[in-house]
Amino acid sequence: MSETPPPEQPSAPAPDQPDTAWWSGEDAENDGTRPLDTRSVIAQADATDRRPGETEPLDDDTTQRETPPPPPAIVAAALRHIGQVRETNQDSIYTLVSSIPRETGDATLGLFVVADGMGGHEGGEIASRMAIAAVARRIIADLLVPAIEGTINVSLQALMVEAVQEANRAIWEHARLTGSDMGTTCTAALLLGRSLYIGHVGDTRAYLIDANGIHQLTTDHSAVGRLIEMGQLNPDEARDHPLRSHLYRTVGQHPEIAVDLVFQPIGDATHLLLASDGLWGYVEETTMVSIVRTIDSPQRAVRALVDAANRAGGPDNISAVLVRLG
Amino acid sequence: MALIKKPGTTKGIDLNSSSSNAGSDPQGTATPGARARAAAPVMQPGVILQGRYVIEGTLGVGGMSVVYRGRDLRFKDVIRPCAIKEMYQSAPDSNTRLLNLKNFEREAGLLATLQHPAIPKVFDFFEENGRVYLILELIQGKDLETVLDEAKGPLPEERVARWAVQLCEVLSYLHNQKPEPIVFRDMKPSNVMVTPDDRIVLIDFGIARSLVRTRGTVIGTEGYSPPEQYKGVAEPQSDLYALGATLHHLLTASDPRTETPFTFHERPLRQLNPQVSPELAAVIEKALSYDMKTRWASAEEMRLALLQTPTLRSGKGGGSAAAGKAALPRVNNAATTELVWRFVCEDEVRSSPCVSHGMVFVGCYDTNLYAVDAGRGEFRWKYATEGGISSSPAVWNDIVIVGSEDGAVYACDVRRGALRWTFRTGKPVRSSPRVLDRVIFIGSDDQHFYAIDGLRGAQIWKYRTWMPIRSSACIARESVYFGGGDGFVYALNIKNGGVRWKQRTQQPVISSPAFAENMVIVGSMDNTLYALDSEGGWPVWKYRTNHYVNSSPFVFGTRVFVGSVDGNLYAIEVKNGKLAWKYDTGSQITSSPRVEQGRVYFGAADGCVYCLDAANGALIWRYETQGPVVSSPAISEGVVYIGSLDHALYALRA
Repeated sequence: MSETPPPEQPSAPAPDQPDTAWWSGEDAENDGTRPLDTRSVIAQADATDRRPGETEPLDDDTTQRETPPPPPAIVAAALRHIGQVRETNQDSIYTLVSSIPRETGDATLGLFVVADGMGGHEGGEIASRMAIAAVARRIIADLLVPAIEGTINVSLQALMVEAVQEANRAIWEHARLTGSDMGTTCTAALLLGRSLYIGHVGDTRAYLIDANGIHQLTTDHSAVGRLIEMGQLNPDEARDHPLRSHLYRTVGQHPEIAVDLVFQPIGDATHLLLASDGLWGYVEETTMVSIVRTIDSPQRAVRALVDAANRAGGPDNISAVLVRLG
Repeated sequence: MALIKKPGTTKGIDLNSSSSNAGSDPQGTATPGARARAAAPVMQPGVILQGRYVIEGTLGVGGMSVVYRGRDLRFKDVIRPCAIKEMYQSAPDSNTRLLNLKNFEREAGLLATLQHPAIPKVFDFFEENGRVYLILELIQGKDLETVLDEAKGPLPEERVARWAVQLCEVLSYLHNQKPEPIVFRDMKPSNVMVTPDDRIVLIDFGIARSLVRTRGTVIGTEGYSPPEQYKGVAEPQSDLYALGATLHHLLTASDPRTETPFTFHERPLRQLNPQVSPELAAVIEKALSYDMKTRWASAEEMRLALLQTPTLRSGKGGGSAAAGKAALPRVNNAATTELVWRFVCEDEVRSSPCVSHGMVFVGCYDTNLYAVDAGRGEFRWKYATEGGISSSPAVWNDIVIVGSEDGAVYACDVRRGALRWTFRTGKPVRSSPRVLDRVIFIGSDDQHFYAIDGLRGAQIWKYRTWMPIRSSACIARESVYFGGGDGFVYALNIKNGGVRWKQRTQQPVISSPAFAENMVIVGSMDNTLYALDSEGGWPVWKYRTNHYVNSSPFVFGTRVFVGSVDGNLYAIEVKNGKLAWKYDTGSQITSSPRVEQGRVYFGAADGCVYCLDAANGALIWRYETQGPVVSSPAISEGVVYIGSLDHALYALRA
């Protein structure tokens, strides 16, 4: 490219005003965004302010590269346990952590899935396994592979929703062929860069833990959960409610399902936790937080979470995926 | 009979968790688990009970009972069919078994005392070989769930309304029983039979009971049951809620068992099925009130209200007539608004006005930047650049900044229009300035994006792309976001112009981004509105229109509003990219909407300025100018300012 630099302009000299007045307050354009670090901007302005308005030659690529922040040091650990009462473990779990190359700095891609199966005659085990397989297959094919090739252009919400819907169809078809009543919950958390995309059906929960405490990202698909959310039942009453784990939405028991989608930047959160009701139903949130905070190794922390549920009687299968977000 | 399980499953394999099914055993389509079916003792055809009732086939298997089709052999010369309901016990503990038996006996006793055409008659009740049997009138026909499945869509309003009246009659009969009303507790399509002559009959009184005001745990069926039944409370109004839920299901084919419970008000009938008359919808929606006290006071009151709806008053076609009427107002008789003033320039006004200091600033293709008195539309000053102006001015402190086709960015004194500084770029500047603190951000056709010191007009940094930049910046979280003619959306570090990320769309991006909920929302000429993760640029969701999205999105509340060259103004949920509503102007929209006081304002190529209700997209007014409107409105103190290609700047009453 050979373009002549535009002529120097005859600029009216800027009126000499005290600098502080310019950014010190009632700026009409400041639309609620965080104030800029003006000192550094001004410092830079002064440094380059030799000839006002000078533009540099167009073919001189002076673009500064942002030194990309290092991708978060993700460590994930997952554990499922049969508990103390059940004879089968109907939960399935899946984790994947991958770095993906990007022009502007490598990013992390993580996929974490917990499925809590239900239905007799091994239906629960089959359904939860089918769910994680279908979700993982879809995301690896439509996101991980394109991401490695550098061409992510899918809508991530749509991808997560469709992945769970695909699992639903597969299980529904299988259940119809075998005359089974099988079904499963499915909570699939995709971490891409510094944001989470969670597809969710059922009552397996996703939590983010930060310095302020633990935040439940998902809503349980049980009428009891909804009544709690609406303030019509208090959580203590609900603990013994006969329909506490009665779900109005499951994967695999209806030809079509709606999938909840949560988009959540991780911000300052330190951990992501996925927990089946065998964990969250029997271990207080405060206990989960203190375990996660005091035990540095996710592997050991996840073991401690499962132990806590077992100590509380372990009436159900217990599954947990713990991701330290660096 | 297909026994297909619906959601509504209790997880786990412990038996006591199935207590919710304890009293519920439909006659028609049952919803048993596989385990229950395996344990259900089904008798073969030909078995004779009491030397009198012969089994002919199985009608359905419930959680606690099997219903057979049978015949009463006492009647030698005629065939007298009957339904034989056999109770069986699958629960292992004796308490549950005893409770189940009591429930069954109560059902039999209850039915024996009732006489109503919509309630099956009881013929006999006995025990044989340790099992308990109830002989009932056999109801010919199909249950409403089957009718709905076969229809594969909503059922006709008139038919549903006539059933609704009959259901109110039978509920009224039950609720008026003495000494205590009987609450059915489990109204749902599968518990209502419809006979070949379109009469309805309630089946399955398994959990119906006299109103005893003590807390129980029998809940009914999730999706249809009212909230109070979860607290063990069931009043006559509880049946009205479940009736409302049943009618909602029949009229929309949207299964409440798969929806979030107690969300009928979020899924209005007429939104799911616009064919339903507003009157019928209102009757049903009142029955679905969350609070018992705001529902219909009685089934009789609801019945009378149903009879007043046009569907039943006129006897036919009420629904479609009403829908036709409702569609009318949008077309021609739209209100217009008052012209406050009109200011005429010498060429097209493509630039969008900016209101500040009691003045409206706007650029014009006649090369001038104009300052006009906002109240009266009187000329204050103009500043001539060396090219047309399509960039839209911005005001920072006491200067107004705008780009020109001559390649420069100009800063003029707000009061008198005296030039403070210019900043030259290599090509026309069609992007519009954005200001944060003292820094001005703007793109140029010379392919660069600039950060300029607003005080001196000096460059702070610049960033090079590979095509002209006509999109304007959005500044949030120490990043500046804009689109490029190369199809990328860029996120730059606000301090030094370093790239945070860039994300490719399939075509050039002229639209200017908006920031909401950690997403950067922007349109592309690939016809799509993108919501990108502000941290990494990946598409959170995409919404596809039928033509270029060059209009810039505007976020208001939980929705983002944007126009498309396909003629529609779209309102899309920020959270999930789902369409809330769209309004078809029938002409291209490149103007960017603004929302103020719950109203959306924008222009279109048909020369009109539109004002819509932001909640539902209903047209409030439109004002016709003499040329296409590509300018975007500015709203201040109840006045909408907007330019038109007819060379004028308009001030309209908002």
